[in-house]
Amino acid sequence: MSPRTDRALAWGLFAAAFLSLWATQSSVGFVRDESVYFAAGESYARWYRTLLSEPSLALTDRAIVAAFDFNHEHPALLKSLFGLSYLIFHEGLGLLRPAAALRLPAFAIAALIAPLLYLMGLRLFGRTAGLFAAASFFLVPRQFFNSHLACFDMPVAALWLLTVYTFFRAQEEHRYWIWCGLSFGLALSAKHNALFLPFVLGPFALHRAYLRSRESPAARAAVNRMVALFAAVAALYGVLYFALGPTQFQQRFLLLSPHTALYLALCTVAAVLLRQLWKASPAAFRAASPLVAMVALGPPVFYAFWPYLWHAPVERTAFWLAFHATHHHYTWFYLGKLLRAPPFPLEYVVVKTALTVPTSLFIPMAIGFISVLARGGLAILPRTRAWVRPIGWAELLVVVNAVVSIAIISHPEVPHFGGVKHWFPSMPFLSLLAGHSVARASESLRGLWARLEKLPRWAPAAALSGLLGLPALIALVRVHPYGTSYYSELAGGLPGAASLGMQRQFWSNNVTGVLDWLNRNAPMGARVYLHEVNGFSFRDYQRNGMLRSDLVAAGGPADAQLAAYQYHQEFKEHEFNIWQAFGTRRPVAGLYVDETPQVVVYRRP
Amino acid sequence: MPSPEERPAPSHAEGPALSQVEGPAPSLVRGLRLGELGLLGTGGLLALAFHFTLPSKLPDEADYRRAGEEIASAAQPGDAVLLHPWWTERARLFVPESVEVAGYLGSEQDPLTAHPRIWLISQRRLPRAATSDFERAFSPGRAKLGETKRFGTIELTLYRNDRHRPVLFSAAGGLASARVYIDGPGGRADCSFDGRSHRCPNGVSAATEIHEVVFRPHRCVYLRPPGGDARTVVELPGVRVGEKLALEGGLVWDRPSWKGPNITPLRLGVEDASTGRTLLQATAPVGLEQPVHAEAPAAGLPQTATLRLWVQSDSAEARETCVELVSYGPPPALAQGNPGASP
Repeated sequence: MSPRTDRALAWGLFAAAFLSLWATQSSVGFVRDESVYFAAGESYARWYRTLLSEPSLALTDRAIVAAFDFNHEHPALLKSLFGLSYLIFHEGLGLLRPAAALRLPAFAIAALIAPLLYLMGLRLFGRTAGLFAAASFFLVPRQFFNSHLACFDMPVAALWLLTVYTFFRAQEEHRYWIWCGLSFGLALSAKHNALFLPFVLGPFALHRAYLRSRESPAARAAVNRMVALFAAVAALYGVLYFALGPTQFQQRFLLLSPHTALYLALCTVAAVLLRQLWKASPAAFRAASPLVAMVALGPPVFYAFWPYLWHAPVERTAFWLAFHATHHHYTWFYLGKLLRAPPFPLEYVVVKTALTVPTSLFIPMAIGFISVLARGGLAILPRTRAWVRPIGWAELLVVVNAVVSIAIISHPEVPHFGGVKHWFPSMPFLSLLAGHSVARASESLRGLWARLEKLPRWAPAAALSGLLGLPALIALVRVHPYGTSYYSELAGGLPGAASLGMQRQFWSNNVTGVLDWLNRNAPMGARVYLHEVNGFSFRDYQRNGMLRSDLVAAGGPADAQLAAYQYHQEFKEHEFNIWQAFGTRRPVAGLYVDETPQVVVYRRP
Repeated sequence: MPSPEERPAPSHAEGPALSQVEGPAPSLVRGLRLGELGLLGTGGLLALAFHFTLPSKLPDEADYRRAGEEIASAAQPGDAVLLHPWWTERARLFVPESVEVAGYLGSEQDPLTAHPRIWLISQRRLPRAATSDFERAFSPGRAKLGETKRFGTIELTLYRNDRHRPVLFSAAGGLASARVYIDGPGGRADCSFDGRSHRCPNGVSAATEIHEVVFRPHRCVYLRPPGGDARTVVELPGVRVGEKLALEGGLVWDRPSWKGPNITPLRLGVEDASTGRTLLQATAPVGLEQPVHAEAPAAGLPQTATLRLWVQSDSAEARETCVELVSYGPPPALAQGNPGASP
């Protein structure tokens, strides 16, 4: 196939992913935080409108804080995109209902994963691997569900992948190093997970620069100086921090301060060294330049897309970091136990992944991962070194990225709520490894089918991919739009997971399963208690035509006529409060997905 | 979107991952490759089989409706329904309201002491139903009454509950006639009854309510200690005394998991009001996520007694308590002098 065909295929995959999200969005409920981001997005968008009409007013800190203070624990880029889309497609053009307009940018960003996986898989493991990786990523029901949401978890996974992809391409082509820096800035502007990216990619950049400068003393010297520069700046920041103390370090981080000077010096000297490197060894330049771009461009992009930082960058960034470093823990049901506080089980993330990725996709992920590791292991041992082709740096890049987010969340002190979304940045890379395994197995199948010469070359890969993808597709169709309730065949599906004692859902979007019943049966103007559905979501269900507008949100069962309890093991008391308030233990309706209670409706007799 | 280029070549196109020249025998390489293919193929086929068979393991609404009608037609006062697996609570929609349904994490262990007969709604074909584990916990002290009836995938069986004991008195049921007060070093402060709840000083109250104690719904006396050395006391007159007294319950909802300098152990007790003798006592230590249970023979008490149920904790923070004091009569068969008789 020609590069042109591959380009067309990549665009086709983007379009297919986008359209599949678009076509299935209307039934997807609003998770608790999504409606908060909707509200934040609308607030930010109003500020952008003011910026156009009265820029001098909009640019004051007062106006910025008024608009951006809401939900300032997350960067503003994605929420701004959600809000601007709302402004254009709902308020401006009137083309879309509010939720669809707000989610539109999320669909586009998530859909980027498909072509990126294809292009990266194509280069690393072949076309079959790329296609399988791209398609299988969206066949994981929880990933497909989260791709709909105007939230940050899938976008940061997409932008993480974009950063790694541009880093990977930058090793061979000059123009990509700038894109890598910009991608990192965008990832940082999506969610704090991206803070780990330099630590993941930095060692690859420096090691490859070191290897590629082997033939050129001038290049090697520049690389050494670059390493020394990074180390020195890190050490000087450390000295400043410990000498001043955390509070003074933060307070004295002004525009004209040693802190800023250090950063500017780092960027300037790194640029000079990059220039020397370019002259001495373009190959070594290509290796090191993405890292410099990340350091030099990441923070400015982050700052530029978050107006809330413009007047008080350090103080407000410090709040952002502190918020996530000290995030509280939500209770989580896991193997029959409520996890309330650390230390959490070390194996939690791996077990949860195994139980929530369709088994027919998890097996190739595991084989792909283990086979690369096994090759790496065999390549180290002198006795077996000759047996295997050593693993390439790019394969190692995939493996490291597949592991790193999982490893971070596996730490027993890190919050474990949220199902699988917190380690989404690992999942595209696991899909690539699955593609690697499927491509290899397709070759084996082709060998077995060699006698059937009339079969097209792609038939074995298509047959095997179909066999592995079909169960996942069936599961996806079956569980949609309740994606956070999905459990794999290994778990025994939703019923098996309920018996294992696993969390049923996360969080509150499954209420859509009973909204029709409420619309049909609630008396006019009834007070309805939608357990765990916050006020923003209640409003969103009404303004999107999913819940009758005459119904009134009740704060609890005591003042409600109808109550919809979201089944969470940690909230059983809330259900019993409904029994107590209504004087009945018998529900009148409910959402039962494959028998598992998800939402239970009670009516005051 | 970045445009694709033709390089670098896919790694697997550069040659096999396992060398066939200097390495292990080609047959091993081939075996590993076929093993990989076999694993993928088998995984895919098993996953497909799972999805094709799952619908046949799930009941439909008509199955539930017929099972519910069967229970409604033959239920007796005091019957209970037990669910297997415990989470199959869709049955609640179809079981008559007069029949209590037990379906909570660990409900297979529940002796269902107050219920002489149990209707077991079992869906043993559900994935990971772990029926043998269930039967190990459920079967002792239960005897089948009649044949199992099948409604689609639902199996309905009526059991005699030989763990049943007649309830002669329960604090939750008798709270309206109780006297509630705070008993502290400074004396006694009476609480007033408003028809639903006994209202005490400092926001303490006592009422009959339904609450969660480690996943299980309890209809109980809901109260909390006043803090310090003082106790919240529920004085229950006219308690019919039988074979034994039992104290059941504990801290509600997530309170057992609370920890901190202001969280202190909860002490509960029952005493004979006429003599002051302690009959039952239990302590819920900080961090213990289990219900409290204490029982003792009612020997030495008159047939009708006044008992005091009390709770105390040095700090009142997060010590909301759901507690039930029950007086049980002798087993029905013994009472009738006819062991093994069906109710």
